[in-house]
Amino acid sequence: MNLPVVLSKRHKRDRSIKDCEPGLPYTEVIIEGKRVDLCENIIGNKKRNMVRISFSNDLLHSKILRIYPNIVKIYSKYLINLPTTISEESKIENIENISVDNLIIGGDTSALGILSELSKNEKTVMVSSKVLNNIEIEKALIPQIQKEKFLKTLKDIINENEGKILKGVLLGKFDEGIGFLAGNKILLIRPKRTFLATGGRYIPPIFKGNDTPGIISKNLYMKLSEKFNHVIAIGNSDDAVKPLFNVKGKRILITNGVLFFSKYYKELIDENGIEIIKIKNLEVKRKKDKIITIADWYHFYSDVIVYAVIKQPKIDHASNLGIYYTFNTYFHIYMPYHTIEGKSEEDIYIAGGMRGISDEYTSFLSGKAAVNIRYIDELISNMKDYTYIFEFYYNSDRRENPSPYLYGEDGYVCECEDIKLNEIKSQLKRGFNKVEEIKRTTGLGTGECQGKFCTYMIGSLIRDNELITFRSPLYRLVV
Amino acid sequence: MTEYIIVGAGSHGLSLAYHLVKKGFGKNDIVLIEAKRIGYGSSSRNASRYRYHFYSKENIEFALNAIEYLKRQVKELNYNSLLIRTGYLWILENETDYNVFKKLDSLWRTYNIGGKFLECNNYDYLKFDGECYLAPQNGAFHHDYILYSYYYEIKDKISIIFDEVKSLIANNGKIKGVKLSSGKEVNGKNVIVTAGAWSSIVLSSIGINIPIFPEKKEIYITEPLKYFIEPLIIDSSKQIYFSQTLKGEIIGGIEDKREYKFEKFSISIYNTIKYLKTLKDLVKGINGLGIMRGWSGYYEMTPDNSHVMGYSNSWPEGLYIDAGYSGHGMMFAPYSGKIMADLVADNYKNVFIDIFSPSRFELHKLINETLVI
Repeated sequence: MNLPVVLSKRHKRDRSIKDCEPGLPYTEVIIEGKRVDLCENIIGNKKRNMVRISFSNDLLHSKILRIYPNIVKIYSKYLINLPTTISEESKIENIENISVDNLIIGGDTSALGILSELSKNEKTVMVSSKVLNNIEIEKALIPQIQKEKFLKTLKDIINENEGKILKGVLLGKFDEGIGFLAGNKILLIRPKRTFLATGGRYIPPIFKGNDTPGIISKNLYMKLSEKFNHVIAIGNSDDAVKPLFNVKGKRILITNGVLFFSKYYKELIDENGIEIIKIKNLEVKRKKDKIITIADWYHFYSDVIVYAVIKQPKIDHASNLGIYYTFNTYFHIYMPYHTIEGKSEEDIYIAGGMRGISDEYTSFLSGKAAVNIRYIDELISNMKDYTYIFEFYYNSDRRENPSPYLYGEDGYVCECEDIKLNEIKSQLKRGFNKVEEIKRTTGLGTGECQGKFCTYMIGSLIRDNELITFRSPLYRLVV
Repeated sequence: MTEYIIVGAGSHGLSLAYHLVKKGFGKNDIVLIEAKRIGYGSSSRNASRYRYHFYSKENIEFALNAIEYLKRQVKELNYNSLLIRTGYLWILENETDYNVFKKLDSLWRTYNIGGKFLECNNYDYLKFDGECYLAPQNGAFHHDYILYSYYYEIKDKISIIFDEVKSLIANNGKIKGVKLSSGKEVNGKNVIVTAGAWSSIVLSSIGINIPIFPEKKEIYITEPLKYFIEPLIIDSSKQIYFSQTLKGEIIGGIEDKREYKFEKFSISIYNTIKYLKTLKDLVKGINGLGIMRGWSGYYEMTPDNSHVMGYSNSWPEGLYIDAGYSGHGMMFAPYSGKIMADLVADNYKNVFIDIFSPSRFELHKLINETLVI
């Protein structure tokens, strides 16, 4: 299967979707003035032969362009790969204001866990960007839970709460409330209590050729898994194992040597004969339909490369809603402040992937525990066996690990604005070693995805405690 | 004891530090104190445009000097400030606007910065069919590249403290230094307050009232299109202004009259929608265009919409200010930093130091400035 290929903005490189979360790079493109959702219609865009000019930051600040900045104007008028028009009318008809006792943001098992525990006497709405009618559970579910039974529990929760569950994409906090884009309207919700359960995401690692079409996140792979036979996984945690159960040649490539596997996944790795290959340098090329992975002296051929370096809570969502966070140098994870039961700020709670949990049943429990203290012991014991993030709470080992994203010294840090690692390095050399400073000097985080990938990766490389200010709207607002 | 304490590392504080470094002062002479981060206030929250076209002679004359200096300065800087001439285009929707610009144009002509009345449909992307006024001398730049060029040049050459100034310290009619949030005191012979909207708070710590007030303004940026809108476009009837960056985003804001006070840097979804809809009422081919993000900041307003620089004779000796730019501070920062450096280091008093002096409020010698964009 071929993923749709589009050309990037500045370097005019072939690019494709990596993950279908709304707002991530190349999930939508403008073709002849119309917005095309590449995740809905996975179709190839006809490639054009274009002049490829690499317009790097170093060139932008060169003497010649400092003397003749009008050259940049000509470039922006004629040579940059951007649409000239977006003609489609907006579907938004009105704004609906809602006041509720509880607002749940998200739609995975943790959100359903929260929903199942909230009092029926209170007014609750749950807003999820996904459609919940055909809920899926990923492999491998923990042994004592029967998949069918768990699925039924979840479906029952959905059925019992019909009318409370709405589909909408989080726009973030505004003066008037928390906004969502929901079909033909904007929802403005003013909650007494907010439960943030929009989960985590995987940040693509850096290496030469890391922007090659066919390098996709674990989440996207799980949606398309039937379409691929040969898979190489890269990553350092449980989630890198998940794509490998049903494929031949079960290999995970890791770098820097730090692995975070839960007790249960360590067993699964042995049982399934999954090979973990430690490498120093990775390079990826595309040849027709195949991806060639050159890892030190190994050569692998595959249909896709699936990445799942540690699950990062969506700090852009958390921080926008007023939750503080910190960088953990052991896991290389940006974690919202929260108590073991999931309380973050006054009247804001988090659950599931938002606190780094990826096992779906434990995630469900974390949702329940955020509302009902009764589940706390069960949550803790599950976390101990079925998550790697357990150590976050109880490990006093404050060892600093190297960044798990560094698979090579070359590659793209930002696919929206076409920023390469060496451009970041030249800012570091100047002594700018905060993500905010790198944003201001390179434009990192100001493109199509507004920093949902690149800021985390750079943050991890330079161990900055802070990312950037994630401003509203968090997702493109068309009216 | 240090020679110069600069309160606030925005464009004006950085520019002042840069010009003092150029005069040979260093780590032992200059302490720059910042409460948040480099350019946290209006310096990194503006639309990055420059203009000569003001209502008052004082501001026009200041701009003639300041913009010429800005143009020379950017050639020296390390990052490409992308200073280009784009023009400002006013859409004159009614007779009153037209008459105001007739009068202004004749004033501007006496300064050789006359513009041009033309049909708006000369710009084929504009939906408005009527009269426009183009001031072609004005333009755009990239504010972050100016800020970070200055910061890069000075950061290893002066002392920088990240802390909040709690109060000034003055004694016997002389400034002695500042007290920080951490409790630490920094002693210095001269204190220059370049704290933007927060300048009045800093000065009030020793009982000095300076009429600089924060007015919250929101600004929004759209997803990018190929560069097609060159000028900054202002429509005073629809109360919108917008322009396009070289990255392709359309950036601008819409009037939202509110009282002067310190507020959260949040945005209103109703204002955001109003901006986007008004923009679409004026520009063709963007019906499906979306807002990528919005933010807010302060216009640091004064009673006469003009800045405050220098000192007052009633103040402790060694205390200076450079703030209150009322929405046009970024473009003036290089020049203001230079003349402030000349003042504090060489005791050289540029003519504008008197014109924009804080004493003017006590003496009721206000500047008649009304053109705030």
